[in-house]
Amino acid sequence: MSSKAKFSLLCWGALMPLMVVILFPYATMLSTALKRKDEIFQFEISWLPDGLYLGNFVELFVNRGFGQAIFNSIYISVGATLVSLLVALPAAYALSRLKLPGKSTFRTYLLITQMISPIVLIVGLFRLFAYLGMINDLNALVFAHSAFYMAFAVWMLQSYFDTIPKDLEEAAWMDGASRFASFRRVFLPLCLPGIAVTSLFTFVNSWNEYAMALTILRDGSLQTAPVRIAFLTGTLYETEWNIIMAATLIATLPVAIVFASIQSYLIRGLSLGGVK
Amino acid sequence: MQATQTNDLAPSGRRARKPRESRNLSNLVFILPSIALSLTIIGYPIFEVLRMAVMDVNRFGKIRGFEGFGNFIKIFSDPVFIQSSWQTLIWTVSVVGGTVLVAVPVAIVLNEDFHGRSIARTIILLPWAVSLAMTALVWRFVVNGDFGTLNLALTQLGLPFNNHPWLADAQSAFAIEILVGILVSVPFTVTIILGGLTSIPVTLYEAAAMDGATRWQSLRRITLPMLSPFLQIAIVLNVIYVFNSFPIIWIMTNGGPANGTDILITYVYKQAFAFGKLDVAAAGSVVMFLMLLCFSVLYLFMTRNRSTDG
Amino acid sequence: MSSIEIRNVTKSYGALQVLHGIDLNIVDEEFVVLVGPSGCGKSTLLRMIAGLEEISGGDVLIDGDRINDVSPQKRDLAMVFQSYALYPHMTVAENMGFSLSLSGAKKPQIQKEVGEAAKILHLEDYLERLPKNLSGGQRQRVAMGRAIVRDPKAFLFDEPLSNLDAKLRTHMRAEIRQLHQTLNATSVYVTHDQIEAMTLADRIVVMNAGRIEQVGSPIELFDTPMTKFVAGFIGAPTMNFFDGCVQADVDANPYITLGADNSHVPLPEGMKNHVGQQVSIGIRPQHILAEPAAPESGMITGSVSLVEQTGCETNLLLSAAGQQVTVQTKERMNVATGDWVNLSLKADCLHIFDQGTGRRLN
Repeated sequence: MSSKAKFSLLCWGALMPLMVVILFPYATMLSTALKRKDEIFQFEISWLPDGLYLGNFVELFVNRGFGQAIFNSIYISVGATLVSLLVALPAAYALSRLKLPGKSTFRTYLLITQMISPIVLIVGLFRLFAYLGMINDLNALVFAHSAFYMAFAVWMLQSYFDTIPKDLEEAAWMDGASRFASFRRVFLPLCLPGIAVTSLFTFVNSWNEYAMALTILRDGSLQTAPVRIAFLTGTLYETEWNIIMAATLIATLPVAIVFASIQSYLIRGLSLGGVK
Repeated sequence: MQATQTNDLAPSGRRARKPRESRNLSNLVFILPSIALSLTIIGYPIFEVLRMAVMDVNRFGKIRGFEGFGNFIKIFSDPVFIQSSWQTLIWTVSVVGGTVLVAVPVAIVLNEDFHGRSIARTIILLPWAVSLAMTALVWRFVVNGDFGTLNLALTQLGLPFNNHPWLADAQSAFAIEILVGILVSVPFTVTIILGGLTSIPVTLYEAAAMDGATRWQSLRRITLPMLSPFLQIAIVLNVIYVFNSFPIIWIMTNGGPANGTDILITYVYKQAFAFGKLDVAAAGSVVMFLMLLCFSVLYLFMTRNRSTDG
Repeated sequence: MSSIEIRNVTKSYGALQVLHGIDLNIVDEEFVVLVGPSGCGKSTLLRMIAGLEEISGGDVLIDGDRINDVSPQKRDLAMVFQSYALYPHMTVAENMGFSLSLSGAKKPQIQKEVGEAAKILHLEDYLERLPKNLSGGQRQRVAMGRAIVRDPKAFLFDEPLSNLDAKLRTHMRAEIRQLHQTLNATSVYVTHDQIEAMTLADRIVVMNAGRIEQVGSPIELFDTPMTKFVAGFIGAPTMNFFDGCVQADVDANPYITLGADNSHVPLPEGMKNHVGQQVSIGIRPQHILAEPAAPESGMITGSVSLVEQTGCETNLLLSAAGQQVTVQTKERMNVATGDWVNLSLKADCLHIFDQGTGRRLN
């Protein structure tokens, strides 16, 4: 065995305990989601379901209105991603490239917005949206999420922008590109990986947010996926874990895949940005 | 063609200067949208919370009168609040400390070049992609006494954990919640530390090797000191996030049994949305924010001292 | 092609002034090199011509038009950056054709122009590659290609060869000079390397501490440096300087005594008027004759501390007249460390500077 193979085995061995703990719930999720209800409450519980039973998923979408919850989540996450990008992109560009009075004050301000958790403010948030008549309005969540995730987006974008040599834009100007053209044809393509990663990150954060969604969207038909799923445990006389796990699987898997895909993009993006 | 000296600016110089400054000011347009958004969504609620904290508010949010420090006196004389504060301290210190202890070695391993590294990275970072609420939910099922897979796995390993009700006891429930808290904080921390590790130039290690440093010595003498600014960021952000972390405890135990797993955030939430005491909840929020502020100032003070010493 | 005129240009960053009133005329088709130590303001001046740096005071004119407030996009200048600044996401062809495509040129035309430039620069085989798959020299060529494709009013070079190894640098230097002979493009070239300046320039501008020390052809600068700074900056090995006081002998002929020796170095007739003045005498290592001999009264004598044989030259590092002296000769000298040599200075090759102002006196 080559020394690298040995070393790899060592590394995997070192990471194994943590990986088991991380993957254990997924195994549980998967195995339970494919079980019939009565299989779970059997005296002899087992890992593998008796057969691939997809009835839980059907039940979710047909009778439990889970499709609506997924739609709500998508609406909010896409909206929050767009809005936060819209405000974060110019801010990050200004921080990275432009002369700006009060730059450090703005940085501190962003840090402070991160210190204040939405949950600490939950009472105030509720009143704000009540005042605006936006309780039970999906757009309230769009704005709330984008406000709270904006700072992180600005940081990520700025650190990415900083890796792109200023020379490149100057070269584009010398080539006759207007500020906008050099932004669009040189700067933007180069920081696209950074923007993609930032967007996906914001999307995932928004998709997963629980407390604000729980508080501001009071109506059952407006619940987001995480709230809906948590709700399923509380409302029923007996907790139907098979349904809940099926729902968790649906709400988790696509996001997890998206997230996993960011990584390779990130690595590719970095090697692209590293060329000078 | 000769060089001539002029110390005062030519008139054209003054002309050039004016538009430059106004252009700098007009650059503010770039950051205004972000300021406007956060001032509305974060600034106004802060004002509301501060206002309600000193008011007497009924359960429907109607302000009945000025209360002064009454709400603060109420929460400080509530034994559950005191208990929750202690539990918040335990929760924050254990989760952040545990996270750093796990994340540093994991990040160091993930920074090595080995087969399947990107798969390993993906798996380790996976919990980040999953909603805290859903992670909490799945773990609540996993540790379920009657049909949870933890007991199943432990029993299959021959251990006497058949039907062990993990969440029924406050201590074991809190311990499990802390473990879940560590688990979900590790990915973020690993990412920050990995960023720090990749910023350490390879030549530094080569130089150390030439100086006769063993692998362990260069880890201790180069890697860890160079990581310290990244560790500081990770710790500060984690403290903020963990201190305010709501879904894990809320979903797994709801603060129970008997307030045994309540932390300040669940306490405040219950005050507001279970008991309808909006004013008390607001006062609790203010106290929480002050605690974080104290931490930040303390942290700044400590790092400032260290940087002037070193 | 165009002329560039710089009138009393200054640059300040807040209270810090980095350029103090620069005046310079660059005529059409001229190759001008700005040279000086790092921090002298040469790159800043170039970037001000380019429009990448705000002009604090004074005017820059291209073809007689004041362009202070014209954005870099509209100045129609091409620039080769020290880092090359190749667009990493574009192929070589796309990099070179970028400015044409911005100006709305049609594809076939872009292809033709890029093809021609690629031919001049021997890049035909690399047109579809990305910059990261090129060697350093090829990247440098692409950066040049990007400039020549568009036929700009002038070329600006910001230390374009400093990232190359010595051999490639010499080679590219020749290519740039040949390119200039073909294209006859007005060029402003910034470097800290005086050999680059000497070999490339029609005229050299020597800058120091935000001021122009001297402007002139390479030979002018070498033969008659107007300041002590220029004398020390141009030429390798560096010029030797001896400090002393101008004296007059019984016939009123000016002479100087070097160091503690009772040596007698006659000075040109013109120095009569400077008797009693503290001066620095500069002499290039090539203009000192060294002969192995025993120490002799009245001669400048030095002991050899280092001998460098490069093959075509011999460099001697001596200690003489209480200081270090470098001598370069084409002859193969058979001397060793510790040997004594007698030195004689070529009288017509002396450069005499005022010690206080550093200005040339002869």
